[in-house]
Amino acid sequence: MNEMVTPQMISAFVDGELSPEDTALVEAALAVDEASRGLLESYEKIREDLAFSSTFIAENVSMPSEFTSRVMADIGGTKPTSPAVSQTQYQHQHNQHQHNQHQHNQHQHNQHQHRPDEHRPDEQLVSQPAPLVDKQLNESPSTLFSVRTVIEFIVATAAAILILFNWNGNTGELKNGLAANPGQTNITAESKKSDVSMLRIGDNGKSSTNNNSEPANQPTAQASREFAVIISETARPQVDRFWTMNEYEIEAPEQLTDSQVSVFLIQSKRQDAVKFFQELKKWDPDFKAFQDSGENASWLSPFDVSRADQLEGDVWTLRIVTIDR
Amino acid sequence: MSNEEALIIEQIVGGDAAAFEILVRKYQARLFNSLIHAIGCPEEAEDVAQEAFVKAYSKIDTFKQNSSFYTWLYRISINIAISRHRQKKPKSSLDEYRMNVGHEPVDESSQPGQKLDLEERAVQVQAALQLLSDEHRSIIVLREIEDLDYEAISEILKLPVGTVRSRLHRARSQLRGHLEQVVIEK
Repeated sequence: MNEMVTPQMISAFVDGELSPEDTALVEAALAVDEASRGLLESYEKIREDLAFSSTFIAENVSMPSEFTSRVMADIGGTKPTSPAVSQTQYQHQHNQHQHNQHQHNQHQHNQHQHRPDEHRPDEQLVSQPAPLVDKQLNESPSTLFSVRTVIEFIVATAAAILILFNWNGNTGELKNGLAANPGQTNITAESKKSDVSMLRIGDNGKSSTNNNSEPANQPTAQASREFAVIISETARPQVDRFWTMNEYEIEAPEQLTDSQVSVFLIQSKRQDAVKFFQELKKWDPDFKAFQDSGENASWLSPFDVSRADQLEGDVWTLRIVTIDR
Repeated sequence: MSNEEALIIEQIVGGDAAAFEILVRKYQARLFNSLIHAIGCPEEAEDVAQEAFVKAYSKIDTFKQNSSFYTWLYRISINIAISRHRQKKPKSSLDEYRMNVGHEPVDESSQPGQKLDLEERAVQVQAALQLLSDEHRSIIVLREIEDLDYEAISEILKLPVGTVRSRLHRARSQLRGHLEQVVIEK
């Protein structure tokens, strides 16, 4: 190899990082020196191999589809320029967002309309709305609390209706005059037969039943899912322990008008929710579970928890209702 | 940095967390690809990418915008990768990861032999890369995968340009040796 041209210069030559003078030296050496040419070819081969490897990986190894939503979920707790939002607050806020999407509560929807002076570049540059974090994070706690309370009250009332009118031996009808359907399948093999096929959480907070539902538990590609679980208060310690062990934050439940009923929300990753459903039977053999029925989230349908692992969706919202029977 | 990106960052600093998703979507695949080469383990690359985005978000008000967002993000990623690599070894190979993420191989019916050759070659390059030291692997990934010039590499790795040049040469020399070794072993 030419004494004026070092291997390091050839390496830099491959990168186009030499001065014009050094470039001329290397080109002159390459013209006459086989060793220099061999070195250059080996470096170019490395470049070719790495470029190929990069293309190969790009074409064959993709990031999980939920990567973006995972990042956005993570940053929900690390907001840099405003006070931190607790996971519990975030869960409630996100939950409201889900309700907006389903037009479950027009009042909430109106609350989440953007303020006139706000500018959201994601609406202009990205076709999909940001899934997990949005302006709700900036809404006042009092507003969130009141909306949350309404939601929880509705669910708790529905739970109470089920407990009082359905679980205590009624076989054909509900005492409050709601239609009953004696021909429904079991909610689970272990639980008592439910006469209510669908429990509607109406916009006005009243409950009614519906038999023209979509079948429950059909796997869909929903990004998020909502469930209601009704368990005995005696199972509460195990439930608390489960979520705490999985590093979820559980706030003290709201005591509603019926002191025997309390509700709390968990915004869970899919895999944790599946595990939770698998454990439920051990803690309360008579638990009841419901899920939103897909396109119309204002309808909750009985949910066979043994099929939880067949459902998709990144984020599962669980409304856990405990009842002191 | 583009005006569009500057605007997005301004929105994020102003409290619009949702705007950050634009940056995540824009750079996640590029960062992931690069980190696979730099780390060798796709699972780890995914974790590092996620952690890097979260850290970038939490520190975005310190981003001075005299480099591109991606350069800044990559520097964060490399620091995280190095820190994590000191603590644990990669958990799985590229092949295992592809199985885990449910990758279906491209139709091989037309040219099965060629497909296997290409796949084997990619695996060999990955294996040889993993035989490099962290500092050599990082620098060669920045140059060959990220296609950054010496100045940008210098900025990311906080090294003088002369050191970038000499280190790149050593990394190439070693990689060449490792590639020959891997091919012989196969």
